[in-house]
Formats: sequence, C-alpha cells, structure tokens
Amino acid sequence: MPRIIVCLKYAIDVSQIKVDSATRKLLTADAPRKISDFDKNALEEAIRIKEKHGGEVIALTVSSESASSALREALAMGADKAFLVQDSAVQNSDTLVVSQILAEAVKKVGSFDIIICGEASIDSYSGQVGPRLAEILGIPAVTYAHRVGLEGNAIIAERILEDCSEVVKVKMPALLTVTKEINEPRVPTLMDVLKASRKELVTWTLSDLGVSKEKVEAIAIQVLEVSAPKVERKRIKIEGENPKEIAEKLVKALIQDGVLGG
Amino acid sequence: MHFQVNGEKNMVFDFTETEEQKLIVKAVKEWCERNLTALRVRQMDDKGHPYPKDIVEGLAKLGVIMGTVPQEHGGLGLDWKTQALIAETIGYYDPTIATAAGFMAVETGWGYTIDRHCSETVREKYVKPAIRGEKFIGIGATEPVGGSDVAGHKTTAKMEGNEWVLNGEKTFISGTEECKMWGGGYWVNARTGPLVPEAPHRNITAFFVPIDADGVEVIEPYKDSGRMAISTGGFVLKNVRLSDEYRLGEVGKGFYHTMEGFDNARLMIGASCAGVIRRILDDAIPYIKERKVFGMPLAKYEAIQFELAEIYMEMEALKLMTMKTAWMQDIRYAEEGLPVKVSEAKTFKPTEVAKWISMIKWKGPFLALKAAEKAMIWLGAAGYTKEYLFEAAWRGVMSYVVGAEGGQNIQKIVIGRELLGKEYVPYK
Amino acid sequence: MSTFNGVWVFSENLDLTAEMLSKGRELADKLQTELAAIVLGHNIKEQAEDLAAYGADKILTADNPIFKNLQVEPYLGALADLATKHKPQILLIGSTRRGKELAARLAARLQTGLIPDIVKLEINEEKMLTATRIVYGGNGIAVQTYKAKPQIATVPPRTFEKPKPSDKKVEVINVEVKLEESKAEVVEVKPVEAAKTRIEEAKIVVCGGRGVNKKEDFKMFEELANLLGGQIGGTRPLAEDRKWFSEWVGLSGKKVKPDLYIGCGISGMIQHVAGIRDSRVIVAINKDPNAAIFEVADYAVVGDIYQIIPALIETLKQTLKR
Repeated sequence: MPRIIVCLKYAIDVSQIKVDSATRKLLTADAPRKISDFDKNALEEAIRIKEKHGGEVIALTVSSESASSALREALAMGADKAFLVQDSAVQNSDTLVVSQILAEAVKKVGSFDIIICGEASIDSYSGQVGPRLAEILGIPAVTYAHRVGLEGNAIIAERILEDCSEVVKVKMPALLTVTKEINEPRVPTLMDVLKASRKELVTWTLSDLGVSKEKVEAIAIQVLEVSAPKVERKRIKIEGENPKEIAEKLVKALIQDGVLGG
Repeated sequence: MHFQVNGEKNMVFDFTETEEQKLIVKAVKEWCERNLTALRVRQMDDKGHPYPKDIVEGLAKLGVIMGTVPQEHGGLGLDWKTQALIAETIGYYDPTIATAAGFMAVETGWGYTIDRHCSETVREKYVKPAIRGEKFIGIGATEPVGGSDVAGHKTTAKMEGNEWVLNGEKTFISGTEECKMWGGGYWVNARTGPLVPEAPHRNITAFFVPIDADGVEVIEPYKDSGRMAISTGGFVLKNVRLSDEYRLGEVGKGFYHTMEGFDNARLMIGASCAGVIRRILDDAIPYIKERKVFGMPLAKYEAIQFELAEIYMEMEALKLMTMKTAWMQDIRYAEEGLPVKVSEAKTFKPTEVAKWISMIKWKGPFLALKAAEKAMIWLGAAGYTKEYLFEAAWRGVMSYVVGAEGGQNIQKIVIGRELLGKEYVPYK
Repeated sequence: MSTFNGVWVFSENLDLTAEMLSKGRELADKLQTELAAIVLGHNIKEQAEDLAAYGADKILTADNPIFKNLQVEPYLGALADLATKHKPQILLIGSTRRGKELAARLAARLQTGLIPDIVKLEINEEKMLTATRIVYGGNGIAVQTYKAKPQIATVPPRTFEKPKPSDKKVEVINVEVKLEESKAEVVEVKPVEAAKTRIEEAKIVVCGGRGVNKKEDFKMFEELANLLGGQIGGTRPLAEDRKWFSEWVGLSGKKVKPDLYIGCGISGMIQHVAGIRDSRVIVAINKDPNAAIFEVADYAVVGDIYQIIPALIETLKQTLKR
C-alpha cells in the first residue's frame, strides 16, 4: 500500500507560445500552461501502481501562478489529494531553489514510499529536479524508467540508456523519473471530473513551509535572455562533384546544427 | 461577464465557464483527439453505417451520452450549458455531424426527454443501457405523410383491454440500423383520441416502442448523402401491443412532450453546428495563410478575409445564443421540476425558450453549410478533395438544413408566433 | 575565503571526455587556469593514458571496481569529494542519461547551479561561464549565466569536435576518492531495443515520396533511419494510390515535428509540407531542381536519391563510428 507523491510542473504549453515579431522575444507570460507532459506519465504510473497495490497518490506542484486547475485535473485522473505551493516569489527560481522548496513541501506532506517525476519538463527540459530532490531527501533515484513494478518493499525499474537497458532494484523510499514511453496517460471520465471537485486540494505559501525570502532569491542560474530562433528556412544548396562529397558536406552541416547528436 | 436579461426580473446571465466545465471540456477534447481523429472520421464517413460500437462505448464511458439525465437515473446530472459545451466539442471533432446527430441530438436530446416521461420499466430496460452505450434510443417522428405537420400524422394507438395497439409507419428515422443491431427503441407519437380540426395537436399520446417488439418491422436504411456513419431508415408498426408502462407522459399530451423533445435535440444541434463551424475555420485558416497566389497569401486578399470575418462573427453570435438558450432551458427545467409541471416555468415560459431554440436551430445548420461551402471555395481544388472534411461537413449539416429535427421554415414560424401572437400562425 | 580554480571535464564515455576537452582547453586558456580530465572506472589505466593526447594539463584518475556498473552514486561520491577538495571553477560533464542524473545530484550536493545540454559556452566579462541552450521544445534559445561555483554544465555528444591528437606529455595522477556505494542494484543489463515511439514523436524522420520506384527501395531509408535512431514514413500517394502503406505523413495523416526531417523524392505538395513544417531542420533530396519542397528546406540537395542516400549512409557510418 505505497504512499506515492507525484511532482507535477505547471509548465508553459510550448506549442502555444507567441513571438513578438519585432523583437523576436518570446511572450511566455501570456502563454497558457498545463501539466508538463512527462509529469502526466508520472501521475498515470502512480495511479496504476495504486490500482494494483492499493495506497495513496498525492499530487504536488510548486508554482508562481494559480495552478489549481491543473491539480484538479490530477485529482480527476485519480490522485487522492493535491498540494499546491503557490507564491509569486518563485517566478525566477532556478532548479536549485525549486527542488529545495519541493523538499520542504514533501516533508510537510509527510511520509512517503515513492516520489515520481517526469524525466524532465516540457518547457525547460533540464531533467534536474528529480535527481536534485532525491539528493536533498537522501534517497536513491532511478531515472528514465520506462517500466516500473513493485516487489515487496522494493521497486524494480527498467530504464533505457544510450547503449543498453538496465533493470534496477531499489528499496523504498526512492524517487523515480519516467519517460513518456512508460504509459499513455488516461483521459478522466466526466464522472471522475465531477468527483474531483470533492477531493482535497490544499494551498500553501512559502512561509507556510518556512522557506525564507533569502533562500528563494539565492538562485545559482540566471536567465539572461530567451529569444525565438530564426524561422525562415535556410535554403542552403548542398552541391558537390559526386554523391560522396555531397553526403559529407550535408553530414557536417547537420552535426553543426546539432540534429545528429544525443 | 454579466448581462442584464430583463430589467424587471433582475436576472444576470453569467456564461463564464466554471473550472469544472473547463475540465469537462478538456476531458472530452482529449478523448476526441485520440478516438475521433480526422482519419477515423473520414473512414467512418467513407464506410458508412452502422456507427462504430467501440466509439459509442467510449463516448458512454466518458459520460457524454445523456449527461443531463439525473444521477439517480444513471446520468451525470449535468446542466444543459455543460452539455452544450460537450456537443460543441463533439461537433468540432466530427464535423460530418454523424456523432452529434446520433448521440447528442437524438440520444441526449430525446433520451433525456424520454427519461423525464417514462416508467421505471422503460428506464431500466432502455434508458440506462443507452447511457452505458449498450442500446440505442431515438426519435421516430416523421411519417410518410409528412414531417413538419406533427398533428397531421396517421399513426394510431387504441386501448384494447389493458394494452395499447399501435399501427402506423415512421420514415427518415435516425439510427434504425444501429437500434436493430444493438437493441433499444423509439419515441413514437400516435393518435389516441378524435381529431379536433381547430386543435389537431390534441389527443396525441407518446409511446416508447422497443425495436424488437412484435409487429415492428424495420425498413432498410436509405442511402443518405451525408452523416454516413449513422443510419437513416424507418419502421412499420402492425398491431404492436404495448402495456401502459410504455406510454411516455400523459395521455393526450404527446404533442407537448414532443415539442419538449425537439427543444432539447435542437439545442444540441445548434451547439454541435457551432463546433462544426469552428473546426472548418481551424482547418481552412492555416491553408489560406500558407498558400500563395500571385505572390500573396490567400488570407491577405480582402475577398477571402471579409468572408472569413463574417462567418466568424456569426459563429460567435451562434455560440452566445446557444449558451443563453441552454441557460434558459436549465432555469425552465429547474422550475418545472419532476414530475413535470409545465405551468411552474415562470421565469422563461417554454414558448419563449422554444423561440430561442428555433433561432439557433435555424442559424446553426445554415451557417455551418455556408462555412463548409466557403472553405471549399477559398481552398479551391484542394478543399474539394477528401483530404479535408469540408465536403463531408457540408453533406452532413445539409441533413439539418433539409429538415432533420425540424424544417428550417418551421423554425421561422415559431419565432413569428412568439413575436406576433398565435393568431398570426399561417397554419395549424 | 577559498578561490575556485581549474576547468574539469568528466564523462563515463571517454570519447565524450575527449570532445569536451577541446572546449575545456579554450575555457581554461581564457581563464588562465588548468584543464583537468577526470577518469573514473575499473581497469581503465590504458584509456586514461590515451586521453593525454587531447589537451588536458593533467588527468586525475581513480580505478576501482565500484565504478564497474557505471552507476551514479560511485561517480557522485568521487566527484563531490574531488570537487570539494580542489574547488574547480568549471565542471563539464558529458550529457548522457547517466551524466545528466549525475550532474544534477552533484549540483544539489555542492549547492550550486547546473545548465544542461548546452549548445554554446563562453566566458563573460565577469569571468563567469555563460551558456546557450534550446528551450520550449525548440521554440526558444536561452542564454544563461552562473551565480555560484562550481559552474556545472552538461555537454551532449558531438557538440564539440575531438581535438587533434598531440604528443604533449601529460601527468596521469591516481587520486584517492570517497567510495560511495550505490543504493540501487543492477539486476540485469540488456542490449538496447529500438524504442517504438510514434512517428509523431520521433526525433528523426526519413520520408519517401513518389520519386521512390519500388516499395523495396524503402530498405535504404530504413537503414538510414536506423543509423540515426529515427523512423521512416511515406507520403499519401504511396499509401492511397500505390497501397504500399496504411499511413502517411501529411495534413490528413500523421504530423511530425522531428529535429531532423529528410524528404527523399518528395515534390513538396502543400498537403505533405503541412505535416512536416514543425521540423527543426528539413533536408530535401530531389532530382527536380524546381521541386516545391526546396522552398521549405534548410538543406537542398538536387540529386538522385538512389545515389545520395547510399552515400549518406556510408558517410554516417564513418562519422558515427567510435
């Protein structure tokens, strides 16, 4: 009967960001937000574990905005309780600060067996919060899991790495980050949506968690600017004496563009 | 946002979506994105009826079919505003309007009305299974002698002992093949008393006729030109014997109950058409922004932009009218209560609601037809192909223009009656 | 008050370490500080020595069976220990999945900042590191800087080129490190099976159109796609008319948004282009110099796909070989 905390990011819906055509600045403040895609996979996995083994699923979000609609959606999908740490002060927080706030929230939520996060967020895709949170809480982490099962008081997870896939066993409490291949998040039924209105959604401020202003402002990474990449297609002609030369030129260009890597 | 509706009544019309409604629409949208893809809808239209059972079961599990039926009766107890938002979404994802026709207009609109007037037996055997996506219940109103002239219909029901015996024929009925395959039944009106020439709508009683009842003969479906995924057929009633448990509502009041059914179905049609139009514009706009002719994108030409602006304007008007109509319907039903007391609807009389219902039933299909036609013209040859759903949408909504759920001219008669008075109705 | 000095480079993949050393050298020179490569592994003495050719001033190595399974905690314990003792100002970690997890945990342990998957690295006027990376699913380019030390960044493979090997003499120093056991047990290691993602989510898509003569010719697209870890697709005529496939990439079919799209023998009709326009980089190969697809391509190759694709496959095999 595991108690599972799922960390959900109220992320920018990257498909809906508009660009100021004059300055090429991204108008992220106006962009709609949603539960980060991979976090939905995390939530779905937690619910499936609960359906199989019993227990409780708790959704947790830290946001500068009112993310209650996202948490209500999480409750509709099957979370039992939701906690929102909402404070405008976290608007410029980096992952160092956010993971510390999450750790305080997790401590306030209470005991847990598993924490599940998405492999990374859809907007910044840095993949740090999960491992950072595990480090702060002093628990092991298994990242990039695409299959998860429970065996007694241990988690068995399969993760895909560049050169192999590993099956790993770790005792609870532990943190998992999951890939989108792990499952397809369910669409709640309308009955689930109606029931979600009656489930518990608690909102906390940073002072409720005992997190000081200084702590929030002690960021280690500062964003200097975010701009839109150039939209026009380059229309570069790749020519050569023979196919081999053309192929080499093309591959070189693609490597430089960074589309053949990672 | 608030609007003053009627100075002396001090009512406010707040149509901002609640958080719950937003989540409901989101869930329906996500389900449709996965299950009513453009490709699937195209395949459904190309293949034709019967309507895919797996989609019906999915819709039922989602909870969109007959969502307004009270929870105690197996529904979700949603209000009509929410159900209208759901219908708009269904119209968006299936612009051929087959899904909205069968499951918003017929099953939700008429199914809700059947539930309001039926016995516990009919509810258990037919309404609840339909909500679960197991059976199909619909409306059998039109007769070979005509559609609009409901009071002039020829089907009769005579009491023999403690049974009603029905004779007659209904044609151009939606979903007969699905009903025959899955089980279910139809709302059927029959004359149960003498025809009063000055008041032909009196002495008509409504019944629920199970499709597999003895004496019911289902007629082969027509070859429709649109909304291909749902069948249009008919059935003949030859001495069909029904216990009184299969009567819907009060004896002799069938006509009024039927008008109520049309109200609900037409509300669903207006809402669905708003979704169809929104879809057509969403599909057409990227093309006209992209496609260049004489060095300029199509969208930059005023001729096209102006037509787009008009259709958009009218669509937004349709959406607002639909929400207001749904709001009025909710208040009317709340006041009428259950068992239905029509006289209790004081804030918005049923006839006033009917006026608004007719307005959106008239406006929706015509505007959707225009949007589909214009989209094809803007896109040219590409819009004429089956890569897009414009032509399928045109063929589908045309069914509502030619008269499904009520002739378009009848809608104008209803509006005229409310504006001018009963004595100005040109015919009874 | 202790100062931070030195540019360090680490990856469990030594080829990636070598690549990072080229940038590391540039950063170290700008900061007038030392460049060190950290090598942690089991029985890696020879590979550590081979690294000497790539420009580091010294190579710190710890050889222990604890590093055998390439798990995070042993690397974490060792690097945290070394970083706390020697205080490097910059630490570049190879951006593999293991590396990203390691870097994040290390940054948490050292209470510092991490910028992952960088595209560009520079030293600014305040002598701090500034990094450029792609955000918002490809819709944004972010420039970020550090406010704490050590400054940790993860570097994806092939971001930098391996330096030309030199025969400069480099010290290989065996260091004592804290040995931290992993709390997770590796039960099984399997060869990787191609993840079956939907083509709409694929990062690389190779598409064939009417310029393809036979269905069997798709084998070369498959080979190309497999090399790149991508997926193949076809245009609508190949599905509807030729009945080669049941699905297609295009407006009425599947819409793709890969990092790299390669269209082979595709004319570029608007219905197909509508399905690929969100691709980050579009490469088009077509015999017809007037093909519409060249209007929306980043790289246009006027040529015969039956010659270009095999050449591309050969070149990639060479390039991706380690």
